[in-house]
Amino acid sequence: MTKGMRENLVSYTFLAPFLLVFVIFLAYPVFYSAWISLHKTTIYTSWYYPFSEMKFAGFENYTSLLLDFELWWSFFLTICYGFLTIPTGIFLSLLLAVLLDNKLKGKSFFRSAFFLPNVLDLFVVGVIWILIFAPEFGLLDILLKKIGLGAESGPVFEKGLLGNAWTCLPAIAVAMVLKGAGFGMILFLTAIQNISQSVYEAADIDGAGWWHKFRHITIPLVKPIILFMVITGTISCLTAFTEVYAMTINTGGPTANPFGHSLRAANLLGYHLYRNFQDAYYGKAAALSFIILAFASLISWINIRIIQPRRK
Amino acid sequence: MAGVRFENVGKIYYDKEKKTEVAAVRNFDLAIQDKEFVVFVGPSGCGKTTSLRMIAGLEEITSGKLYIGEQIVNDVLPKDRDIAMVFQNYALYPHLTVRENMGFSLKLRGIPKAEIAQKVLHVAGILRLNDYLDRLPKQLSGGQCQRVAIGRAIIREPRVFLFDEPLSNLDAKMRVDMRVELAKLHKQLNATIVYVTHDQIEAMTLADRIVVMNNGSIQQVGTPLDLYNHPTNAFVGRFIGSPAMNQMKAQVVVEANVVYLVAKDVKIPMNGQKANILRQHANETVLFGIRPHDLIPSREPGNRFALMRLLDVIEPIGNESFAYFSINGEEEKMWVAHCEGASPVAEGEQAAIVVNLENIHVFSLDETLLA
Repeated sequence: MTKGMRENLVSYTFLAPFLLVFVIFLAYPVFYSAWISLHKTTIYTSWYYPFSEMKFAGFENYTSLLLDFELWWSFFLTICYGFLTIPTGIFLSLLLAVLLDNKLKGKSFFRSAFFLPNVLDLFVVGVIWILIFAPEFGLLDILLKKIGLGAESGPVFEKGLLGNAWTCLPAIAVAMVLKGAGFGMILFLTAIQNISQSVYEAADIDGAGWWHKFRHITIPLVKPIILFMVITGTISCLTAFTEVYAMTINTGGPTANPFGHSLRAANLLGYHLYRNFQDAYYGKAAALSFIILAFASLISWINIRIIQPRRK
Repeated sequence: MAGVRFENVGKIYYDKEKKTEVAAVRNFDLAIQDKEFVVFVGPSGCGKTTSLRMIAGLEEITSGKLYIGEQIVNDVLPKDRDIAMVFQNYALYPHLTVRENMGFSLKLRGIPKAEIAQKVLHVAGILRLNDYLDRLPKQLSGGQCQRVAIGRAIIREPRVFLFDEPLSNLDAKMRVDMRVELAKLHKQLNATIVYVTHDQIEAMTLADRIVVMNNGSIQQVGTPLDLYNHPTNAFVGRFIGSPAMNQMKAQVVVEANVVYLVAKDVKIPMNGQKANILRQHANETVLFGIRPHDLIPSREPGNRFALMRLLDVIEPIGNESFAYFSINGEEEKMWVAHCEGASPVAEGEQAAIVVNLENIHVFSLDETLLA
């Protein structure tokens, strides 16, 4: 055995546990779901062995999804959700990072406090926000009444923010941005604290004020973090499920009527996938996951192109 | 261009760990003339960089007044002081090209693009950076980075240039090259320059005047040769000159009307003016110093005063040699002697080390000059 072969063997031995987990829990499910996406359940399918008794359907699942208006509605909602959460999330994280990157007293308290929501489960956060947004007894309603908005009796928002087709998705977005901002803040803080103090001093001497330093030094030097947050934000929008499930109590939100179709106002792609699965359209659900993968790859590629044009 | 004047300037830090106030700079009085090249030199923590940063406006001044030109600048922001600074770690903007780095300050001032481009080309020409204008700092060597930092400073034509140990991150050869370039640049720009270094060779070779600092206060201000030949205290004597001045404690003894400096087995007669001064300090303990260049190892001392010693180590440099010998019977206490060319006496042999009595410096125990 040559030295090179022996080294390879040792490396693979040490990699084996990971490879095993990878194959069982990632590679195999990916191929299996690809296989399922080409099959569909029929009335003859046994409920106890659905996957073994599905019928080959070719690309029927894909075509029926792509021809269904509901998919494109979900896609549109997901894009809206992305525009509501990603820029605001980045802005809020950066703002917090800049505010907490100085000699403020109690800054470590604030840093921990803003980060805390990240340790909570999405479902828990969703339930808390249902309580905040609830009409009549919700915190938001009570606060708005205290400052004199809304009628003396009855809720400020008739069915609550989550019960209105126009405000449901933005309300979910607010909850998610506030939950995620702490994590973004930590990323930005790390990046900002990596910028040498003398670079800022050089800028001071070069005649830069606060805004110039922020605009010409901080922003360009935290750009990798912005890119990272855009890409991870995009992926989490495309796979958003728990927040919709929790905050609409598994309904997909109030009914909206785009172009005469009666659809749900918070029916994001990830949730749409889940509904297909819940309704036992396993093949369709699997096909939808590959369609989402295609969307995600396309959007991430565009993101990288836009944000890092200088890359050679 | 303008001069810089310190009037009794002080800087006090609050040390959080020790919970005490620490004076980084004390009673700093200095007038730097217009177009002068002044070097602050001293060991680490002597307050030289703090003083420079006070001129830049990067450190607050605790007490006293600082003038740039005729203007008091204690409370003026760095961007309004019209100074330029070159940092030890270059502090280039890592995301900007060489061209953008140099033009940044002009861009902030709203100067038209065409004019910026022209000035950048001009400065790049002076610093031989034309081939690197579109590179990012990470694609440059240390020396090139430092030239860009200098370019960024000179493009603005400021009233005062500040250099904070600009060569200490470069390798030895590059340091010598850049030192010569800086000297040339000063002639070319005809500008007021304040330069901080801990390297006394840089200080000696570049400065019109040197300010030697220690423990936050000025020890001596003078021309390089002035400091070398006439140190006003023992610290300056040790700090300026390489190898350092040999120093030792000794007793002033008067025997038969002749004044001697006596330290164990060393007994050096003094003459002239120095003897007259030391006569008044008879029987006191003093500190005396002598530079390696005033100790010459030879075979035949003739009628000159010499110490007879074994040479422990000889360092041949080529054009000169340094000979190390133990003094005062203590193994670890080594003195250095110097001679042109090769040493006339070999390592491990007995040499007569001729002492140039004229150039003995005598200090009191609190290190101030006596004679």
